[in-house]
Amino acid sequence: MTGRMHSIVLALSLSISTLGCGAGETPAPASESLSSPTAEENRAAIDALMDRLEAAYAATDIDLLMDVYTDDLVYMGADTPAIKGAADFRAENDPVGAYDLVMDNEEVVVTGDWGYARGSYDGNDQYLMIVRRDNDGVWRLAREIWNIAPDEE
Amino acid sequence: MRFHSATTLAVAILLITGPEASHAAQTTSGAEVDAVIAAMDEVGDALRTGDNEAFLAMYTPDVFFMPPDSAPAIGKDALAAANPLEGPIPWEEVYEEVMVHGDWAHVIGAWTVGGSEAGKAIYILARQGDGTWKIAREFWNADGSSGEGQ
Repeated sequence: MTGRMHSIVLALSLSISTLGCGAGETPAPASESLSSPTAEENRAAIDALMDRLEAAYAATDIDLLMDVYTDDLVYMGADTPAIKGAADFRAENDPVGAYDLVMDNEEVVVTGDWGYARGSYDGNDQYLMIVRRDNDGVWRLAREIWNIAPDEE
Repeated sequence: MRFHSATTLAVAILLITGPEASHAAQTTSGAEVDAVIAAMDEVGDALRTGDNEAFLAMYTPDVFFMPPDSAPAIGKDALAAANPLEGPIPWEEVYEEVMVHGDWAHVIGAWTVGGSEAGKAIYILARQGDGTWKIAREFWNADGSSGEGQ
């Protein structure tokens, strides 16, 4: 079990709420008022988002971590119920445990203000994230699921 | 027990979250979403009836299928080899979110199997040339340690 899984699983004791709870506080995605970025720019932006996630854990900074996620986030860790919404996520992750997280996007697809990123973290474990560009122009993690994979032989 | 020994749906409920619904780059209702739900329903039907061929038909050739505690199955052949459907599964799934983004869509699912296991999933579906949808990326895991995962 990875350090991240430890830190996350130990932190969780959730209640399931309806998806979109607190949606009224959710920033709307950025709109067509922003110019359309190129595929390379989108890829760079999503890679940078993962860098921000790594930095938040490295700094054990809950505010940095929260800014990586949308307010209506759905976080789906293994062997624990989903966390829905920023308030519950903050409650389960504050204080943030120090963690040397290494994210590696292996696939990034972006259409408009939504995209997904699939990749591995800490080498072999796997994630799939739905990302969204909020109306402040910042990309954030909106939906996240991850699984531990067996060590490679 | 893994996903396929754990699968299928009965009721498809679409809960649309608010602000995103008005955004032009994605769709949360209408015919496109209905088509995505229809594809998901076909997967559920295949699982409930134990129809392995119908199940595999709903995945793209380059599918990336990631169950918990396992290596990912990359490609339909690997999916077929790693996840044979050996019989009907009492699978039920609620689609908590369905959004279409051009030629791809995502679905957030909350599944149960026989009332004894529960979990969640993210599916990425790809629009096919004939307008139908197939699952291209799938990650799922359980809500708790219940022996799931085989």
